[in-house]
Amino acid sequence: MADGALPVSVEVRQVAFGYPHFRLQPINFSLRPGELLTILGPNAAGKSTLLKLLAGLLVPETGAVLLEGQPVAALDLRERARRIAVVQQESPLLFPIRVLPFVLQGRHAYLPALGFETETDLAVARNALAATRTAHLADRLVQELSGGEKQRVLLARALAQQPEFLLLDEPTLHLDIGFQVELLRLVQQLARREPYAVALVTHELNLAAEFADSVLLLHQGRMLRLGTPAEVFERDLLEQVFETELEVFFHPETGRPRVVLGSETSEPRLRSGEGGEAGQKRLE
Amino acid sequence: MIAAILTRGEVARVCLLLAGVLVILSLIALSVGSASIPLSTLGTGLWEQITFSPSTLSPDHYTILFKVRVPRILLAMIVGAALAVAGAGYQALLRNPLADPYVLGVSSGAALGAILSLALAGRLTVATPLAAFLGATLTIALVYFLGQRGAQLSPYTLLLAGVITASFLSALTTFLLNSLSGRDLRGVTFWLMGDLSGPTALPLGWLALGVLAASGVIYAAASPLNLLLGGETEAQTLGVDVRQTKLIVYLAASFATGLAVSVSGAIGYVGLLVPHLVRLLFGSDYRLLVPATALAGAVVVVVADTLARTVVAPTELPVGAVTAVVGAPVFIYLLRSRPATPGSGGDS
Repeated sequence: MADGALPVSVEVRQVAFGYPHFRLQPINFSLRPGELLTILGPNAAGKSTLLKLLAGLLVPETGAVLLEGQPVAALDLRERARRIAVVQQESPLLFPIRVLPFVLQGRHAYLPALGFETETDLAVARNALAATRTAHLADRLVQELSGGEKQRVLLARALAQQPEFLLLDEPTLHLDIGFQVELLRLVQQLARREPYAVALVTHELNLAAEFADSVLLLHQGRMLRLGTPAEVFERDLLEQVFETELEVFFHPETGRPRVVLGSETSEPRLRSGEGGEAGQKRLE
Repeated sequence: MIAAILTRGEVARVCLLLAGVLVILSLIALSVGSASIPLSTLGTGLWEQITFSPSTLSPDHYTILFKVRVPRILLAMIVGAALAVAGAGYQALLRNPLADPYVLGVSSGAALGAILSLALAGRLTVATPLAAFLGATLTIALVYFLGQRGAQLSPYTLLLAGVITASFLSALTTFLLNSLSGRDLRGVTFWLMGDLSGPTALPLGWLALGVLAASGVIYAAASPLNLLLGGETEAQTLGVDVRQTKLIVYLAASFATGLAVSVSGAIGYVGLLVPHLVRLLFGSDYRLLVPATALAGAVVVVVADTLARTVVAPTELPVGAVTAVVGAPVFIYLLRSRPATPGSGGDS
């Protein structure tokens, strides 16, 4: 352990899982508080499955996800919700709800049964709104927010859970590039400030390269590589995984890698493993 | 309107308001009818009853008031609360804002269960509500199964499955009632449209206790239900035991429906109208919605039944005809105001 570094808070040991038509091969990594891991990979690589395993929504067939040494699968639901927060791809709300009560939902696991939120819960929620720069939206309806605002409000609800481990599933999916950068910068700042470990699934290679402390590259259920962005972003490796021509550059100032399309992208390639994830979703 | 954050005080305030409305409307309901009772006579009668004094009312007034109207209005309250709370429960459970015990066929299933128990026993017994409960639980399980496309619950398929199931079960009910005619069975109208005028299978006190228990169980799940509205996986990551919550609410809502149907037949749309009205007025937090819906459901059915027995006096309409006249257009309105592509069918 480097000097001054915090002890490992999340440890993933030999975690494997199988659906009838898909297997996630054993995964290993560890995260310290404040570290941001991005999980990259083509469709059907097993990213969502891994995220569910990390969140405790799926129980690993072998191995364990350990949070401060405790297996996540053994935590009861409420304790898990106090320690792990998940920002999922937005799902439609049934009835209108305002932003503040929505963010207060993050306090559910702290309330007694039949409980009402206390001043403390309200303060936590207001802090979460302030941290995500959404305090001015408190009285707006969630349904009326723009994509970028909604993602920040979802993040605020997750922060209200006061987690040790924050998981995000493609949080930048419907955002334009400006909002994408803003959201990830925010996630990075908050992770370092609190600090808590973050694992983030994304398809945005350049965002991962810019903001991640480490990158986990998944392909067909296997962990192909784990390392810093510079270690993972090798042209040959990425071309093989994403099955398209790519170029990798390094930013002259930050040294962070950047990926652009190569020159011979006009010829479509047959992609293996396509449809695997869709099939697996249907089975859930 | 609504404070930013829901408090116990806010819930109490709304419930007191609705309870006040319920009392006032019930007093009016007691005084009107084919024979109207002046408010002063009503006051005297009720006061004597409360203080256990000997009654000074005329025997006619006494009979109309205490043998006919009081039990009927109490029954209307209990049935209204049961159906409305069941509707609110099903809406969160199925993540479908148009869910209602009648629309989903649950009431028809409960009615069929009750009729089968009548056919076997030959009269109303305590088994009648239990059979209705059984009919309700089986029907909603069937409709839930039919409403699935792939592994997803499709909101519109679910509604359609409910409507078709209701129509099928109503046909069975009609068939059974006709082939059993001559026995001591109440009419087709009662079971298909709902009616509050007849004798009940259970004493009112037991009925009230049952509905209170079912509502209490759903109320205890209010916070988890709030989170379920935003999706099952989301609720789970926020600390909700989704499976347990759904099972409890499923049983409690079906129990409430079974109780209501076994004493009043299939009164429609109360479970749809009332929760929507309450949401419109007070917001959609289930910690407020459940008790407010129970009270508002009582108000709505008391009013509907009063209309049913006054608009064509001296004869009566089935109360279900009154609720359907209001409920069906509201259902269509809510259906039309939903997005064309189903969007609330669970998570992917």
